[in-house]
Amino acid sequence: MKGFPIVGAAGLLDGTRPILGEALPGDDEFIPKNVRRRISRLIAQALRVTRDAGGLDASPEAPLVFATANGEINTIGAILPALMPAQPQVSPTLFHNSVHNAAPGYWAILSKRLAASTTVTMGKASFEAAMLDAWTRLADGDPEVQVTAGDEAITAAPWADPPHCTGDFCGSLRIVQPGDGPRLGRLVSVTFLPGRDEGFDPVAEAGKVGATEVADDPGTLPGGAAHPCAGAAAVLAFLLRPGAAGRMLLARRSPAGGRFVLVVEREAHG
Amino acid sequence: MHTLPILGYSAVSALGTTIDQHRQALRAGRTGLSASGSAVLPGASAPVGEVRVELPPLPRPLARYDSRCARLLALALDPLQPLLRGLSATYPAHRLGVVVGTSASGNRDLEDAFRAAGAAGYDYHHRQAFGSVAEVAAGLVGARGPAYVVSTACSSGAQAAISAARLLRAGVCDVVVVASVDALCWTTFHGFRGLGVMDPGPCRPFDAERRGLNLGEGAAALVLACRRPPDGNGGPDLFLAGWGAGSEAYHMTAPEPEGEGAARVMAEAIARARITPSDVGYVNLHGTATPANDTAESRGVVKALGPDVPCSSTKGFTGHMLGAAAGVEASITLMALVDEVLPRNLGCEVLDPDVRARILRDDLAAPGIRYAMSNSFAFGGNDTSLVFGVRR
Repeated sequence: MKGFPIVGAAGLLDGTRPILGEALPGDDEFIPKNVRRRISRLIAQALRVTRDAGGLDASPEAPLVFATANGEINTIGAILPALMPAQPQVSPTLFHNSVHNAAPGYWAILSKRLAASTTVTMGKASFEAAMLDAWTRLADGDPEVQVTAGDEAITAAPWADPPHCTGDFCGSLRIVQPGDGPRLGRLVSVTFLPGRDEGFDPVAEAGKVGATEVADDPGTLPGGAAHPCAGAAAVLAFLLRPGAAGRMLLARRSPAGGRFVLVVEREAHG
Repeated sequence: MHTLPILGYSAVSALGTTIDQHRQALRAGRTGLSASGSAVLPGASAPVGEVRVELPPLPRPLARYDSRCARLLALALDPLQPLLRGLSATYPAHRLGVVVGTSASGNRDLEDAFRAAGAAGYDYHHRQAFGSVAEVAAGLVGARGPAYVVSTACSSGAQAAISAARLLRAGVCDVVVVASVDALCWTTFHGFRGLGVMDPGPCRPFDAERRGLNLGEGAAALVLACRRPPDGNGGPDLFLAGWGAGSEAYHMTAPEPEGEGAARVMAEAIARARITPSDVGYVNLHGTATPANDTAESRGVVKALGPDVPCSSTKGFTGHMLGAAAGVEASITLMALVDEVLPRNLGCEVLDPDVRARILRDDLAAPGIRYAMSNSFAFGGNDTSLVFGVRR
């Protein structure tokens, strides 16, 4: 069967609420207090959903692809004033937390995992580009890939206007090579359609692949907050929502032109 | 693995804006580090490797993306434009992808805007958001295939090459432009200073008295393809032979001291290239000149390749270009394969007795060299190693 099974999924809104269902157990054991003190909301949430999607059970060779549009933008916002005095002092913790791959770095340290990780960023298409990156890794034979996507509300960077990220969200998917194990659903395809808007009809595209749900450039989270990873939230909500089997199509305009198109299948579950 | 042809490559750094300028500076042992004064970081308390030419503005349709970072990127893509135009007959634009590595994007311009007016009116989405550099690159080369940015701090350029290779191997693209870029900025300057790993003088990779790194800036690009077009350029055939990538799971900024993570990615790269350690004729080391990195990396090299493979860090020439380092150093590594001359490790006068890897204090002729490796390591323990090959 074409595509790759999705065996784990988790999403977190506002740092506390699962995207669907009941609150998950706390994470005191996984993130030690001395680490929690030092990390951003984004890192903390990325760590939690990566774990909750089953990341600790993943193959030792499974890479983590982290997707984020703005990364540690609030950390950059906190560093900028520190550069102003005559004797600038940048906190070493803020500095190493400011890189886009801070969350995967902490994940490797806390989970003691030696697998590769990367961070993909492409504005509002960051999640979708990361899914293409993950797709190529699976197509190339990686045993499984975990994709974690997230951004935190922009609170300390007033210059990042317009504020296209007004809420916190992180989500994670574990995608594996075809096999017989239990699954939530399937990543049917990730493709890239070149060109601008002319002639693209998401409903018609969905019809071609048998998708009954369509998310065309989603920009908001459940609850209404603007968020660049809204596509990830849509996929997770579709996968985790109880109901009959089905397919959804997610189309995302790339800021550089063209569209990423994902087709995801959900298994029936109650 | 099936090797991926490299059809062209470029480099922009403190050594110059062309491959020839890099070759001349490396051969002459002439550093690009400026000990006195910097136009980009005026009053900086340590040498920096600054690109000292006037950077042309972006073409008008891309003007809103303007930043020092974007201009450096454009400078690195410029020499590859004739090649890409020539390829367009064989490979249509929608099969041309772009992956760019950067660790700071337009941060230098944001800092200026913040100093001037709290960054009021600053166009974050076009000048600073990290994805914007892929928009610039795609616009400059006319790519209509997928474009995105990879940002893993100092290994960004190597991770971008790995993502590009995957796009090719999965059949998503026929050609991918892999670029990497970072401009000097105060955030990284004071960040590394705060970590206590910046040498106030010229950096000395692998020297017994080394004190830390110097920062640099730069950009580079590789044109990677799924296959070599029939009308080659007549020069030696270069290719990406393999790669390794992994996490150290040790510390956010300090390397695992025994070099286990470094050794793992080097061994993976060799295995993926289906070669043996003795096939590797040169290693361009990460070699930041921090006491911890150089000792750990040396141990990793000895574990993965043995003590005899010739190695050098070229950061004594360029400084540490962060997100651009892997790209520029890949181009220097390709140049070494083409020229059959291995660049010296500038700045090492008295070799650290704990370093058992073979550090080149002088250029070394390497007739017939077939494979060379380039290492890049990053915050978060993000380790990468690329293996390049040449057929003559």
